[in-house]
Amino acid sequence: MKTNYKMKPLFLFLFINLLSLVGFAQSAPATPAATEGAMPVNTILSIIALILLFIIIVLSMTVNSAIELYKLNKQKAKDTTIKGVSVLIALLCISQLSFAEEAATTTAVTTATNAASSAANIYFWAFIIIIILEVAIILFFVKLLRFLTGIEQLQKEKQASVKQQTLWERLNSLKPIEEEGNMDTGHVYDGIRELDNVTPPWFTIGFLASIVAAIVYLYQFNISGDIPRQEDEFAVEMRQAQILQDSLLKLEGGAIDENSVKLLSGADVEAGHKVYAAQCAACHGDKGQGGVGPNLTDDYWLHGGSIKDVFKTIKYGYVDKGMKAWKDDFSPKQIAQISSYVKTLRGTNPPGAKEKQGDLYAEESASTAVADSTKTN
Amino acid sequence: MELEKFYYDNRIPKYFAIATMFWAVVGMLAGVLAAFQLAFPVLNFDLAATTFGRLRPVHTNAVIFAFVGNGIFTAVYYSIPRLLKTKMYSDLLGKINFWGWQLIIVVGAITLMAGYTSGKEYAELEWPLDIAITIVWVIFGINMIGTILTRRERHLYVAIWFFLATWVTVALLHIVNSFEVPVTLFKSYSMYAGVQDALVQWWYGHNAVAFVLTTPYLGLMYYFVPKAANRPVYSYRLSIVHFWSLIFIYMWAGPHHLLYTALPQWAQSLGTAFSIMLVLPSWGGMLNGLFTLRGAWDRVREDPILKFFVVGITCYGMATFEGPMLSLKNVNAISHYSDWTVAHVHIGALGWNGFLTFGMLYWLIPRLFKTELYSKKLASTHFWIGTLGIILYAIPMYWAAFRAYFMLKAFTPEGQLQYQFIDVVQTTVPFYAMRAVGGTVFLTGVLFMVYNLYKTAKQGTFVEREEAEAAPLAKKYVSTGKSFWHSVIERKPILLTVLSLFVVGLGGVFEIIPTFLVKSNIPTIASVKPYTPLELQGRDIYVREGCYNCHSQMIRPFRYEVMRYGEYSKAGEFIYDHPFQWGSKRTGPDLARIGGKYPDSWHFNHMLEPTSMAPGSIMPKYPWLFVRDLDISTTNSKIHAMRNLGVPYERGYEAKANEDLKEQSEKIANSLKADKIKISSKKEIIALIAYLQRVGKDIKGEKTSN
Repeated sequence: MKTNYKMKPLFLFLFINLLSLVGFAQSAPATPAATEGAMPVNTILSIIALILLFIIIVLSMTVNSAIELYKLNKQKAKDTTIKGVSVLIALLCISQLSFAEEAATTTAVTTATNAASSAANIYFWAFIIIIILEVAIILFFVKLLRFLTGIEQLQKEKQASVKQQTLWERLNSLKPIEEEGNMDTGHVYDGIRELDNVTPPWFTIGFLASIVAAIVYLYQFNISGDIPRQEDEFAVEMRQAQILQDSLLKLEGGAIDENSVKLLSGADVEAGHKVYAAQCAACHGDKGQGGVGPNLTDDYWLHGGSIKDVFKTIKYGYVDKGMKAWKDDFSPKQIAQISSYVKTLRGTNPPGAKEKQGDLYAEESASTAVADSTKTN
Repeated sequence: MELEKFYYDNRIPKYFAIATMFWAVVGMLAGVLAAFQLAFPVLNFDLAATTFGRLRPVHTNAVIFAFVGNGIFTAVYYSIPRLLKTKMYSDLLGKINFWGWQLIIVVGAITLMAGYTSGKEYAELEWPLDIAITIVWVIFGINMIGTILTRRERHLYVAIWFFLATWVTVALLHIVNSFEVPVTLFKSYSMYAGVQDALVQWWYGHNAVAFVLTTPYLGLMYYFVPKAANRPVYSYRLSIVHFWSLIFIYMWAGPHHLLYTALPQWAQSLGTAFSIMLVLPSWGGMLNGLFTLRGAWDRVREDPILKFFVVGITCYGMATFEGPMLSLKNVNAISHYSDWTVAHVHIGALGWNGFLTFGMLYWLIPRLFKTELYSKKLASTHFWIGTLGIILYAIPMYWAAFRAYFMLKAFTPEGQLQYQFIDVVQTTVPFYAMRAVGGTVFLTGVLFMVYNLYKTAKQGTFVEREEAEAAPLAKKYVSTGKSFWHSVIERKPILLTVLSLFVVGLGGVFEIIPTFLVKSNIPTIASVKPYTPLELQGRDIYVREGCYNCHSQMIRPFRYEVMRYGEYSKAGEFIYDHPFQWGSKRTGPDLARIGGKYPDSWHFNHMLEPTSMAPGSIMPKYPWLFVRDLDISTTNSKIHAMRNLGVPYERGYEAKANEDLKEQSEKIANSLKADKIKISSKKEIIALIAYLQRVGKDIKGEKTSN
């Protein structure tokens, strides 16, 4: 196309301008930073405003030359609208330049007073507005340039030729069904034709990404050790639980254990009864008469009959004899409650009681224990 | 070239289609009964043959190998001759294939209910049947490959790639996993023990899913979906990419069934990594299936066949995304042993396999009988009922799994477990009931289909042979212009088969062989000793009753598991376990450290009447164990077989094994007597108690003597 040739110098010009801009932008922040230790926001903003101003100046010059070019191109067409446009641009440029000067002075002033000014807040918003305006102007110029250089026209024509695709079609690289003839592989099996559509891009990318993820995982797990082994995870989990428990124990002023446990009464015994009915009755009978496990109502005990002994038996169990350790199922307090409940069963003589097992246990302070049990029952 | 006249035989596809429907009903009926048993234990009927532990393998085997298996054969015997423009290689082999397969299924179901099981999930059938399966499978292969070699179509269509890969891989999996030493006519021991057995079993188990439920059904999809939609297959190159990547990657993913177990962790990490890579190759199949329907979506609204296909393929997409997610360690920590896995597989089985099969049958039967479908409306109703069934099945299971997980890992502030296992069971029971209803709804839909297709067949006339004609292949292949490199493989079936075998073999070679050869993978523990003869007999009862269907024997290193069940399981503990019994689902608690936890009398009462010892339990009763005498005539051969497998019984121990057995039986009978229980020491329950009191005790003594 003809226009392309004529556009070349313009692009070159723009490119050089851009380069110089970049150079400016790189050197710009360095200067104030050198003079002031930490850069206040307003200084940064003023620098940005200045850079944008510079871009505007360069762009306005570019636009001016572009208008010239456009005029040259369109002269034969005798386009009347062009005059209007160029007038508008000229006006804008002038107003721009004056505005820019104004802005520049404001910037200069603010930069100077910045360090001491207590009204920095006002300047801050002023800068923000200036920057927004500048960006708007730049965008307008870019749009104008695209129009003047004919890029916009070209793109419009291109878009018109391509049918608008939906997001779904673009995501999957779907081709219109009418065009599927182009993709026919020519294979026909029992009347089944095969097309050769491209695989959806997300499929290919996703597959490659999953391979990378898998390799990274294998590396981290087996070689670098970034992912913990299962024993280590377990150790951490147990340690955390221990810390939590210890801190709780501290709060409660120490745990109940087989040395400190005391016979409880009232609601505690009732709580113990509930747990007993749910968990213990299967083996020891609903009334403590015994079954798989020994009778709990007589005076004979396999592992001692004091509250401390009973507590210990429940807590650690006698696994070889079939008594499970319950320390992981019940809290020390619950075990104390169950033990206390069990102690209330003494002498209740339930029907079907199992024969005596173990040794005769004499209550240390039989009277109080019996008193307790009658009270709670 | 001159056209040759030939015909397509429709009898074998018809037989297989009928068998597919028949076994669908039987298999799902077994499933529904098993599901109701979990909610209402009384439905175990106190009979050995109908208890959950024996019924569940009947259900899984019937659905996978009878229903889906016959579905595969239907698709293969119908599509392959047409895709290759030739008749099947041999009608006789086809008949042997058909009747052989049905015979295996029937004998399989009977033996499973009689308690003959190898104790390895989805491979429960005992050694004579393993051999029979191998023979029938080889016959099927000869018939298929023979057909391919006598074809009139130069290139093989993608459906056939999948059928070939299926054939060669299933053969490999079945043979390697079934290495076992026969003890009696219907009893054998797996050649592998413990960790190695677990790895081989899940390499097999996972790929049974891959190469019985997935790849042949992709082949089925590639034939029947374009046919029913009358649309071209979407992308040839996508088929190539996802075919090769799928079969290669699938074979590595097995260890994701053993995350956080005693399996060496490098193998676990391979399972996870390859599962991540498996998402897109699986989705390749879904994409090709769904995009093939482009331009036919308006018909999906009206055509029940296409509806089944669309939902089936979508379920495939969901299940193959969920699967890799379940392979991530932190997700697997929740899902493993739980009902989540059950929900996951049923999305695949009911949705993908079920719906694809239904779609195929609705398309096929009218064509075989040269008529229209009896009732399109009824088929549509079936579609909606089926979809509802899947939803009703899946949601309660997902819900139950999460509930159970949060209960199981709940601790009180004091650091005690907040819930007993029985509490979890009781909260789950209503969900089991809902799930059973979902399954029943799905089965009802299937019955609608059977009726509909029966009526269809009635109103038409069966076309026994379809005439066709095609030119024979030229001796020498002349290229018709530039073609994609892959087309070379497509016209060389043997090359394709060998390449597939190579590609699928790699995963096994790199995972299984190191686990067997490298000693450090399974650190030995000095205190682990072989089972006594009585314990060994008891273990076989444990296997026979299918206890592994509900109880695991593998404690993972989590606080809530170690606190609940005991010290986490070590690889070295299982070296004498032929087969391993780690299990995959905890409907009941883990039993890895059950030994010594309760007295003998507890087990006695519990097996007789579970609720007496564990109120609220849904475990079935096992009254026959208290009546039957233990068969001690097998002790000799069992000890002998075990020694051949490397269990260090001294030479000549066979001779006095039964003396030791009797002595230990007496001991247990006496201990029961002390608890006022009178029973002969010869009964089976004595052996089972001996085994249960031994499990996990070898290293337990050291740990709990604090």
